[in-house]
Amino acid sequence: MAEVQDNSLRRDAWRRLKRNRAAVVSGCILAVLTLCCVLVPELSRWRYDEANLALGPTSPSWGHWMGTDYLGRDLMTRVFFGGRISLAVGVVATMVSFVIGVIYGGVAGYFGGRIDNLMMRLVDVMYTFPFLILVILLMVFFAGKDGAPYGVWVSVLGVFVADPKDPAYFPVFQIVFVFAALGAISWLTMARIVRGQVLTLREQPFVEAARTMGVSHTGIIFRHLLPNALGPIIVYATLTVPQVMLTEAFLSFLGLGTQEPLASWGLLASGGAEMMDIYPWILVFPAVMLAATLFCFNFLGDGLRDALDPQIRGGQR
Amino acid sequence: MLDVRNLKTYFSTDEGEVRAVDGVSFAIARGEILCLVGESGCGKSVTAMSLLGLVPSPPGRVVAGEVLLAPEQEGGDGASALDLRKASESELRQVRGRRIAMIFQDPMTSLNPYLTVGVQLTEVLEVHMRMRGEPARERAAQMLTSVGISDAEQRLNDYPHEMSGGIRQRVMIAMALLCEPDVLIADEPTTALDVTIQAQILALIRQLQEGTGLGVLLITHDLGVVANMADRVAVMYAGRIVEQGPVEAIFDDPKHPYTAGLLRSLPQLSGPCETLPVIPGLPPPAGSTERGCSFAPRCDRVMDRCWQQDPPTVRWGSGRHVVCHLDDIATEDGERR
Amino acid sequence: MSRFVLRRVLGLVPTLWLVVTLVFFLVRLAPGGPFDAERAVPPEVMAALEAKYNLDAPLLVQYRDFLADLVFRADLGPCFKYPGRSVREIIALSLPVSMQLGCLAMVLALLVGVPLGVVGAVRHNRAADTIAMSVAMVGISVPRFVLAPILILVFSLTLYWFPVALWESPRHMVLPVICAGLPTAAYIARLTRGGMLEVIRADFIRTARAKGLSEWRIIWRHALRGGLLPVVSFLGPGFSGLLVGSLVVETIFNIPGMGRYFVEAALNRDYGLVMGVTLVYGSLLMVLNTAVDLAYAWLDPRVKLDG
Ligand SMILES: Nc1ncnc2c1ncn2[C@@H]1O[C@H](COP(=O)(O)OP(=O)(O)O)[C@@H](O)[C@H]1O
Ligand SMILES: [Mg+2]
Repeated sequence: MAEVQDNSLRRDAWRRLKRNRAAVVSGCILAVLTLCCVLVPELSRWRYDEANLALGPTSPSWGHWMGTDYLGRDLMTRVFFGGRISLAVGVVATMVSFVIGVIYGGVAGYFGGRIDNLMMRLVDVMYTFPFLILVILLMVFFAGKDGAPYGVWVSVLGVFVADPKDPAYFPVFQIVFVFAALGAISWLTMARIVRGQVLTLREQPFVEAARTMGVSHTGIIFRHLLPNALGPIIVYATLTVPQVMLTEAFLSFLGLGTQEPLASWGLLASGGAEMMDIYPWILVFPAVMLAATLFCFNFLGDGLRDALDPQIRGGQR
Repeated sequence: MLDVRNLKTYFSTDEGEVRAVDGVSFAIARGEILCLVGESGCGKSVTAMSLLGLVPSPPGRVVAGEVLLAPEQEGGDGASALDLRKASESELRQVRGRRIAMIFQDPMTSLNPYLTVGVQLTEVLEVHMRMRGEPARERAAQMLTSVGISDAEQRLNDYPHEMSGGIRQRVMIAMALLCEPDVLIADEPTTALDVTIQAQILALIRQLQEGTGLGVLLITHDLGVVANMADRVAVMYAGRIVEQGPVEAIFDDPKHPYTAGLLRSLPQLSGPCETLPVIPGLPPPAGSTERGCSFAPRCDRVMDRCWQQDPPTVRWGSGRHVVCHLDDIATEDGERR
Repeated sequence: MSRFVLRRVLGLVPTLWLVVTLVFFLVRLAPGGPFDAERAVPPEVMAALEAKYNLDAPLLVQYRDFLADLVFRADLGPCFKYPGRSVREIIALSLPVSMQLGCLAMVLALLVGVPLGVVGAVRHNRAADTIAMSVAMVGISVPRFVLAPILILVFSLTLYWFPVALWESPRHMVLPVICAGLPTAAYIARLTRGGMLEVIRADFIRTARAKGLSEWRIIWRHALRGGLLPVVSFLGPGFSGLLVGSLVVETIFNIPGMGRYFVEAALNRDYGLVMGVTLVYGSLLMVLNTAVDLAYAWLDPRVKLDG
């Protein structure tokens, strides 16, 4: 019964989403952008780190559609290569926060009572933590080659590749570190949302039924509660992606995020910002890409929210 | 006092146009209680909101009709009635709360949780009577006392959440009657309340109305309430009024099969206890019927022409009318139109 | 209410202690030290330096001394990079600047964001709403470090209206405050609109209409309070967002605020300064969060303060 109703609800939501033109266009743009980020660096005549110091910065032309940067590297390749990292940071860090938040909030909401009280108090306390400060400190102090996290990284990577200490892997380590750090600070709100949802769903008859039929705690949480609580969680996750991307950009601006010769939109834009009066295109292309992506994610998130919570739109009563 | 003619309110929704109110006419005389009854979803609330121009728009729209409000002094010097549908927004605002007041079903959500009761009461006086400060508070406290709230002075400083449902509805009534309006619209004022509180609130409305010229439009789906309160009754079905008339006449001799069905489903205190008959089927979405009588699918006396033609209106001198095809309705002194 | 404040303030102490301890061990356990950069320093000078700053003592002793200094003398120790100046002095000089920037930016954000959001809600789904929300969308999608150079290019380098950098006169403050405040304004606009839309649908707004109140009065008296609640609960995170934003703004506009010192201090492993700034930021955030809770309870009479 609950499932049937759920399906039609989902179909309704899908229909409403498809009618929201801004959300549909945003979704399409995001798909195209992602595809470009995958393909362009592969198909391009230049590598993302192929410098040409003799050439230097040149404005957009037939040879280099987006021009070249200070080192004469093809900007288009770099922009789309940077897109890979920016998008990956957004998505992966959101997934990290999703996993932590869902587990934490699910457990708190499901067991309720004292456990819930304690766990949520902890979240309240952590809300007042100056988290970004901690991330900055983490990045400064531990993302280096002599930090303990790098040691862990090397030993894990050693399982997969022959030479984990190859300096070529080092930037990747730093990015993974960014993923983890950003994910680790973005889960608080997610946990609150999940907990609220689970708390209300817990009392529903179909959960009672599952419980009387002897389904285990984990079974109830993951099979019955979370799928039904998914709406607001998806909405929040969609809106977390742009936030995380923005934070990555901010860290890159401080020199703590993605490192040269790799690229991310944040890194490219902050590099371009230095000489925007002379070489504006070095700022404009990555900045527009970043802004457009954030724009689309936000529109998509808004559209999803409206679709899943029709009350906001007015009309029905 | 208030004369409503051929009121139509439509909603545009995903599924097309919903004719929530589809040609409703009734009148409320001075000092009269008119009960509007009907199953939930038949358009009662929308009718009430349409009178004061409160239909949420979009999606709603009052597309036709007249809402004539008699001028303030009875037999006034030739001042003609004001058509609220044609009135400007500022004219409407002077009518709302001042000449026609309204109370709603759910007293829990109808009062602003962020403001004290005193503020919500006195602002009516401020807007309509230019009364502020101490005099306004005194008047508000006085009004609270007259709706049976003790410690009125203290209560003014309370927030709605500090009061029980019954008290809140009393506050709503006090707020509605502050400016001594001519008409009170009460949209299911007791539905959300406990049974004993319901009786108290109804008695209060009755008591406040008696002897004053206050006309009341009491909306309800409860025929028990109608029997206790009404002078006249209008029975609504799917956006239309199917039968209207004095309460005794309708209870004694319901003409429309729908009214008859409703009355049959009312428990009788006298007589043997048996299972109550119910009207089979569900009411259609308001105004979904294109042609013919919208009650036809559920009617126990349905005929061929019920499906084909819109039913005629049969009127009696007593102000009674019925909208139905049945031949035996018109046999007495009714006049077919 | 005063009991609530008291309890919250007492509750701050363990949280702050936790943050301080965490940061203390974090920075000290990390590889590298404050004097690594000065390559030429001979070992004996290095040892002398470390002895001077108590860095050669065992970690727990350092921790004990640090806490004792902090608690009993409100002393955060010396600053490594600016010899002769204490962390306290530097914070005393830079905190007011950051506070000015942050408060002005928040005021700007509220002054711009709330009206924009109200307009969006009142004119829901009409042109004004679409325009207001598109502007807000741009506002939350453009990073501050992109906004800043654009502002500078237009208003300083082309129009010559405002100086490029520094924090000296009100004219210097215009661009940094705009740059720090606008993204927050955009956020507030979206929150205000959402909150107002929710409230406008409520039954009590219908009651207010039925009472014959003017539309303006309904918005102002009846809807705004409830509609602003989401904004009020955002103020806590909003301030910490501004704080982070101020790191960028202070760096770009070369403003002698705490944010700039913090990044510098972290990069230089200036333990004392890092600790000091973290402590100040942490207590600021916590105090602001308490204030936000109070404001929330003041706006919504149904909220009981406890805890
Ligand atoms: N905001 C709205 N949007 C669309 N349809 C509405 C809206 N409000 C009411 N309706 C329609 O009007 C009909 C009558 O509603 P209402 O007057 O509230 O019924 P009731 O008689 O129970 O008070 C409903 O069946 C619904 O289809
Ligand atoms: Mg109703």
